[in-house]
Amino acid sequence: MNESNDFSSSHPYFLIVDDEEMIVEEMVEALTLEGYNCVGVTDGTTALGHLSQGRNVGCVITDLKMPGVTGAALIAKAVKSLLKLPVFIVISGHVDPDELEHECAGLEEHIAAVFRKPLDIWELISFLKASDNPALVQLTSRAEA
Amino acid sequence: MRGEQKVDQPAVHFAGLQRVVSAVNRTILFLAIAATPLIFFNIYQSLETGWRHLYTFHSVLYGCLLVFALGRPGERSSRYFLVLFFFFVGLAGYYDFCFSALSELSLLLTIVTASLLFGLRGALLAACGILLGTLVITIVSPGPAHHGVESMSHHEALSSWLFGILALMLTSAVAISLQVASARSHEDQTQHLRQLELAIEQLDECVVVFDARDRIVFRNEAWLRLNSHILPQCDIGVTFEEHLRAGVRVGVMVDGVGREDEWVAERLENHRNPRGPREVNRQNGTTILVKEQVLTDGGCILTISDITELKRAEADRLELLERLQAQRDSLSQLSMVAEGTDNPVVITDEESRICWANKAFESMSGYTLDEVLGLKPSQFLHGERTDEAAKSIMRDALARQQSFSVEIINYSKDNRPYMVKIDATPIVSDSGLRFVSVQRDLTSEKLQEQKVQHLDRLATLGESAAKFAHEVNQPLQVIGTAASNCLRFLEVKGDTSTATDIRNYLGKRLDRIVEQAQRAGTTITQMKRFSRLHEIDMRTVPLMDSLTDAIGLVSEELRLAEVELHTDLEAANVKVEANPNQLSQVTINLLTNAKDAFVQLGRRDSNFLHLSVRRANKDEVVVTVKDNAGGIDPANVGRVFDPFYTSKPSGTGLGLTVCKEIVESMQGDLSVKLVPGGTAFSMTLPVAS
Repeated sequence: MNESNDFSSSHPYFLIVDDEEMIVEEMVEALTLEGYNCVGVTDGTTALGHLSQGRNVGCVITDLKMPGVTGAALIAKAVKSLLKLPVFIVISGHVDPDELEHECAGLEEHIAAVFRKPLDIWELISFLKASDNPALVQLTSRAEA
Repeated sequence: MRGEQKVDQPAVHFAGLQRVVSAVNRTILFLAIAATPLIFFNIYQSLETGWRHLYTFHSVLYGCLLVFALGRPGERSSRYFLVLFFFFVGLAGYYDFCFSALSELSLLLTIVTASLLFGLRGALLAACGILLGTLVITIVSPGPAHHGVESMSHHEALSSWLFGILALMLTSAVAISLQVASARSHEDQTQHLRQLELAIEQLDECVVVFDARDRIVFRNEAWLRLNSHILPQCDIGVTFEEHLRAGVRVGVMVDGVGREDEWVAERLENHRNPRGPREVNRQNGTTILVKEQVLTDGGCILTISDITELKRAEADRLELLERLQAQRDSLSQLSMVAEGTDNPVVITDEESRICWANKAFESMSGYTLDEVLGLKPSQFLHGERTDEAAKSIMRDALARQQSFSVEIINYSKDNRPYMVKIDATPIVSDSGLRFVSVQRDLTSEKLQEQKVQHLDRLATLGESAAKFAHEVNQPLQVIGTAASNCLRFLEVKGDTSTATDIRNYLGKRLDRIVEQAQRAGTTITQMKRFSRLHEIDMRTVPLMDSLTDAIGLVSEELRLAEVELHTDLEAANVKVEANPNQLSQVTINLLTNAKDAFVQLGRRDSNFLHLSVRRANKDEVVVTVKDNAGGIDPANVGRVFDPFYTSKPSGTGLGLTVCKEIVESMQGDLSVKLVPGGTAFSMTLPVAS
């Protein structure tokens, strides 16, 4: 479990969730290089912990296929229990679009974007930068500020 | 034993003549009766007293005869009367020489009549009588002078007598020759009769002739043979009733036993009023046909033929007919079956030409029977994809007239290929050797099979594709992100970082990239190997490769299910004779089954899966997949390899069955046993020599 502590926890941050450590590491590195606050975890439960403990998670970028608590389960749980929801971005390794739709059924309104694996990091970053979403704007502009 | 005829029949053999004589007889009789008193009186008057006594005696006799004839007007008495009349008249002329010509004529007529009416004997008797009578009269007569007639010398009298004798002899000769002729014809007739009798004797049929009083007058040998038990009651003169009763008592005439009187009465009734041929059963099991015909004289002719054989033949014929009918019925049933069955049926002759085919064949092949009658199936059913091996199997079997069974591709009329299973049997029929082939359209079956296989493979491939995609995605993502990070790092911090920092940063990431690229490569290789599923060859392959492939493919799944896989593959460094893909498939199946079992159990602390290999002996190696998923229900352990047995809610139940078949086809064995806390599947494989 990777946690970057070089920002105060009151600032909003990105939460990267993927069960493969290397992927989490590189993604966190990529966002950090852009100057964003970013924390990476390798399982859904820990991610939920971040969310439920009232931390300032501005955006959750999560893989869907994970053991234990899947990405979709994470989002669903968050939606059910949190008052303030972060932006959810989903990374999907699904081959079958129907399967993807099925997995995210009912959660579409909370998912800001879906990116396919293998993820093109620059595509993600461009999306983040271009987004109108206030939370994302806040996350991305802080660094620039 | 010749039958003798003693019948009241006139000895006249010319029927027409008999009628004439009868007519003449009656005419003369009438005339004679009418003339008699006159002649009598006339003669009496003309006679000397001395002669009158003799004449009176003669007349009395004559009168008696007349009375007799009048009293019983039958043929016999009138015949006597006629002859004697002529005799009397003739002789009377000699008494006093007054009716010479008339007396000569009378005497002539006497001979003639006697011979015709009484035959040779009669003629001779008449001749003798006349001779004697005239001689006596001539000698005793006192002489012509005495009678007041013109005197005639003795010499004249004698010559007159001689003349009379000659005339007599002449008429006798005529009479005799007539008699002889009639006797000859009588004899001819007798001979014919004899021949007829002989012929009747030769007959197998029994012939019996009865007279008007039902007495036997003639019977042939055959009838005597038939009634050998009652020969005494078969003699000439025995009545039919006596014969019948004897038959019943001896027991030969079965139908009458126990009811003699009744039956005899019936039988006699039929005998007298025959109504047509009847069948009678005899005691020895034979049956006879009795025909009776009434004759004009009141008698009866009875013929009996033995129809036992006929009846048996008839019974046989009926039985045969029944059998044929039954055969025909069963044949028509069979042909209904053959016609109605959905299985195509084709019958070919010894030259493989089609003699018959049913509707199912027509609809399968698209040809009608008319179109293909007389053709050889190979002429129109085979096409480019028809297997040569199957064709030669058929040819060989047909040549050797043996039954065969092949699966072969045929082409329908619209050139559509279909697969058919042919089971053919040679049958020897009345019209020669035939091959009857019952077929089954395998196309849909095969299609189904292939579909299932294909679906299976697709499912597997689909799963595999997803797995592979995922397995390749991960490294690619890492590579992409890491490389991007390197570039960004250089961009953002390149100027401000030290070379060492740069080297460390980039190095770490480049290492990672290389590692992940290799990882992707391995996945691709696995994917390539897996894609060669269609290969069915058995090869000598390293066991390790198949196992590691399998493990690679399921590792993701296991990870997702949080199953820990432990492996012990040291002994897997052997070569086995196997289809590598099938081997992997079986391993995957076993591992996946365990994973499914864990999933069904729900979240647990520890799901352990142990894949181990051990060398049982120099010829065998054992691969074991052991889990701690609680173990299969002991009641069901024996059924896990049964087809369609499954404990999964959505399983087909075929996985383990197929696995067992696959392993066995590789000369190995797949078994299951319960272990503490779980189940162990063991695959035994022969080591390649």
